Amino acid sequence: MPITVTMPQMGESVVEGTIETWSVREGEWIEKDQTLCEMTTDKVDAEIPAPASGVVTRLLVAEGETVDVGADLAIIDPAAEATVAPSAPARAASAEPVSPSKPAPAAAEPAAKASPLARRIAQEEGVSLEGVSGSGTAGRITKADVVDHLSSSSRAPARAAPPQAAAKAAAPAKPGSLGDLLGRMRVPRYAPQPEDRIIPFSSIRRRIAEHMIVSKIVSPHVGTLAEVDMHAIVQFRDRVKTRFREANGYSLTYLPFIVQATVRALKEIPRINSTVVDENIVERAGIHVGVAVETERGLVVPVVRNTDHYSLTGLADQIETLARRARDRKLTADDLAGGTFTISNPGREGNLYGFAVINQPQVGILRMGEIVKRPIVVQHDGEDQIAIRPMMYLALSYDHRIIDGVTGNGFLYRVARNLEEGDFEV
Amino acid sequence: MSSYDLAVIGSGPGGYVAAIRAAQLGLQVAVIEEEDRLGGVCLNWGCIPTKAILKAAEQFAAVRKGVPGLVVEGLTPDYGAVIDASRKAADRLSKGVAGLMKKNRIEVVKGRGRLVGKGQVGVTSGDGESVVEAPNVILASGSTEFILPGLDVDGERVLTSREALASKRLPASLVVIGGGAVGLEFAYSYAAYGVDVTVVELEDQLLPGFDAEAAQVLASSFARRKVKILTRTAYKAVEHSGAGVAVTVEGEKGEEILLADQILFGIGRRARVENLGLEELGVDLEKGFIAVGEDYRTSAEGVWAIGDVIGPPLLAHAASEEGVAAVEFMAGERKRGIDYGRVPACVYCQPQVATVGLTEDQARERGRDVAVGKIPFVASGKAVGTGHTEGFVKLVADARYGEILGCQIIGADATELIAEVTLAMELESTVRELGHTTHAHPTLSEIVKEAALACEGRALNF
Ligand SMILES: Cc1cc2nc3c(=O)[nH]c(=O)nc-3n(C[C@H](O)[C@H](O)[C@H](O)COP(=O)(O)OP(=O)(O)OC[C@H]3O[C@@H](n4cnc5c(N)ncnc54)[C@H](O)[C@@H]3O)c2cc1C
Repeated sequence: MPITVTMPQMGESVVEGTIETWSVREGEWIEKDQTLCEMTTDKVDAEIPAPASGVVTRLLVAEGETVDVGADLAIIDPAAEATVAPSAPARAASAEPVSPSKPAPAAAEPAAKASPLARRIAQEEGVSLEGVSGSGTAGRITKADVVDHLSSSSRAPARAAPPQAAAKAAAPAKPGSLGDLLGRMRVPRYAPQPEDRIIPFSSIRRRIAEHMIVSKIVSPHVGTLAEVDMHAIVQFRDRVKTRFREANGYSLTYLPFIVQATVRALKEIPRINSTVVDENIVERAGIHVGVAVETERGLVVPVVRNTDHYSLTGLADQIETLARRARDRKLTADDLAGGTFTISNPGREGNLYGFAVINQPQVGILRMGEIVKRPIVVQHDGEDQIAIRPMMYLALSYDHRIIDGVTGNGFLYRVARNLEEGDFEV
Repeated sequence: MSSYDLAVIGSGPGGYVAAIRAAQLGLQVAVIEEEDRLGGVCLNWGCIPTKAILKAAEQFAAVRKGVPGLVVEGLTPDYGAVIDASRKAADRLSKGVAGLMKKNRIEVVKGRGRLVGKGQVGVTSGDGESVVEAPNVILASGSTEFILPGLDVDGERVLTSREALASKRLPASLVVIGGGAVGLEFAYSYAAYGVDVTVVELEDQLLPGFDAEAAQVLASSFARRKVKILTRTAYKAVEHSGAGVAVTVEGEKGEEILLADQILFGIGRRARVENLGLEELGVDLEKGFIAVGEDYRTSAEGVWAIGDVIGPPLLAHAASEEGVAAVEFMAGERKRGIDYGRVPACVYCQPQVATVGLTEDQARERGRDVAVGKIPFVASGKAVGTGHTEGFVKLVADARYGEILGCQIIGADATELIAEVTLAMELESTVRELGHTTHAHPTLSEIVKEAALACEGRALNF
């Protein structure tokens, strides 16, 4: 009875895998537990062993193809007779003891003497310099040697070549390191035009730019959006704002409400108030929320230390003080350091919603949209009604390395609920 | 009759260098030269004397323009002394070549050589005739000025570079026909001494084939020095007029007559292929030059050719490299020919122009995805500090691999700066290694580094 080999479940979160190389050809005999193919997933690299001895009658997936867990990969017929001699590379592979949990280390590239250009071309084209003979001074591998090698390997008929060698030549270029990738990235060059204004980066602009790039690379951002009915807060604020202003000398804005609602949610879900240190998640005990403030020179994010220690009035006070210091350029390094979460309030107009870039090394950032009156459906006395309510979108960007969808959504839901319940006092 | 392993006809930078390389490889070598002085055109009537004159002209121009702290009362050129100095330099180097021949035990046979049979070179001199026998013969007879049919080059009013290099007279005005390297070097030198110079060039830019932007910078620099430049203008005729000449040229606006004391032709060179016995031995020509393969073999067995006589690039260093390559092929020590994409070409007027490999346009024409790093000299502290802010370095690279495809430099010391890029190309360095190399500050070479960084969009000082 032929056996169908399927893509195994290789870990809880693995849903698919890519067949990198088949270690056997169709018609070839394979021993039980001998490597059938090498595969990569987004979590691990692994070799799939043959579940039984027999002839591999069919390979159902092409090299380089990505398939779901459970998909059919190959058919092995224990009763059939081999029509193809085992390929040498497969033999060699099976003779070597291979620990199943770790992928076999890639053969180290011999320190081939090669010109920088030859190395670069090999790297770009995803070929190894191993086996390329050098015609340069003292056997150095030159551009011409690599180009010859490339054209001869692409001319070689794939069928005549042993499968592994053929696979190597055809394999897509191995993605280089990030730095290398960025180095190779080309955008059309800027051609100066007579009326163009050129504004060099200020140091603060450069720091912002670098931070943004690094953040986008370090943290895979995921965005999630909630709609908040601000009815309770607007009403509350309307009730107290005159009194507040008289007592404190400045206006009560919506920001302290958002901060307080956020702090409460952070206490419930500490994963959002965390950071990544090496391969550890550190859930931080202290809650220090940064509030993004627009200034002439750019965006700064002063931090309200121990944000959870303050009442609504206390928060309003802290935010007002920091904002004033920011505008007067009086912020100190301490004012800006140590945040564990950030709230961004990029102003009113043209801001229905948007997703902010995470402020490293934090793992989440909340961005307020403008408050707009919209008709929504509310329940009144158990009946659905259309009401006009001040609505706000709240957008959360979170770091998908350590926060998954359930946690991210749960957090945002709690912030929204805290706001809608309107449980605030001054 | 004397026998050798190798006979070389011509002792220019092609011939004498080939002879030395052959001697190094253990061959018995004879060099046949008809002139009294060794070294060929390059040492005697080309590269070296022109550079001596250019240097003097440059210094004269600098003093005339003003050097901070230098007070000069009355400035009179003595052009005769300039020519004398240039002859002295040429003589000294020519003697140097004679010394090198001795040191390498190379026999110098004086006389005019000619292939007279397989492995046989007949030599005619004042002392009579002799035959040099060698299984291999290298033809390195070079080139000579191309002279239009019917033109009377009298050395007084009508000159080529050859006559100009011996002429101690400074004319009041001069028309230079040809805006190539030779024409421009003379135009610059004479203009520096206040001669009223007009350059006539057929193509639409000076230095045809060079980077157009560099040619543009050069043209405006010449214009500032009061040199008149007529591009897209054809030379038609020259007649005597008073004590000078009347030169008829035809530009886009029609014919024009230029009056001047002298006219200098720098319109190219032709190979010296006559009376060498080429036809008899079956040495083929191609467009007037000796045809050779990648290994410098001609169509006749045992006969090789190098240097100006095999055609462009008509450059001394190319001739020398070809000489070395030919001998190494002969000795079986070499597999690949010369990569002409790595042979630099330089012009030594001020600002200097140097180029190697492809220009941006040529690279694009070849379908390359090109990254260009162009840095002006003004971006360099050294250039500003020393008052040499004219010009730029333009590095042309392959956008994907960073391969250096070419470089064009115009500005002070361009001809020295190009060496670094040529080396980088030879070593197959990419723009990355060039950009990573520490360059001393302040030097003009920093501009080359910046250009390399600019190819990757990360220039630091521009
Ligand atoms: C004004 C001027 C400036 C130049 N400046 C530069 C420069 O700055 N840089 C540069 O790279 N190049 C320059 N050149 C070009 C350079 O001079 C030539 O490329 C170079 O000299 C070529 O070398 P060659 O050995 O091929 O021939 P040549 O130098 O021409 O030498 C050939 C030799 O062969 C001898 N000869 C010829 N026929 C016979 C025969 N039948 N028997 C015996 N002897 C014979 C000749 O007398 C001569 O000595 C310049 C040329 C000119 C005219």
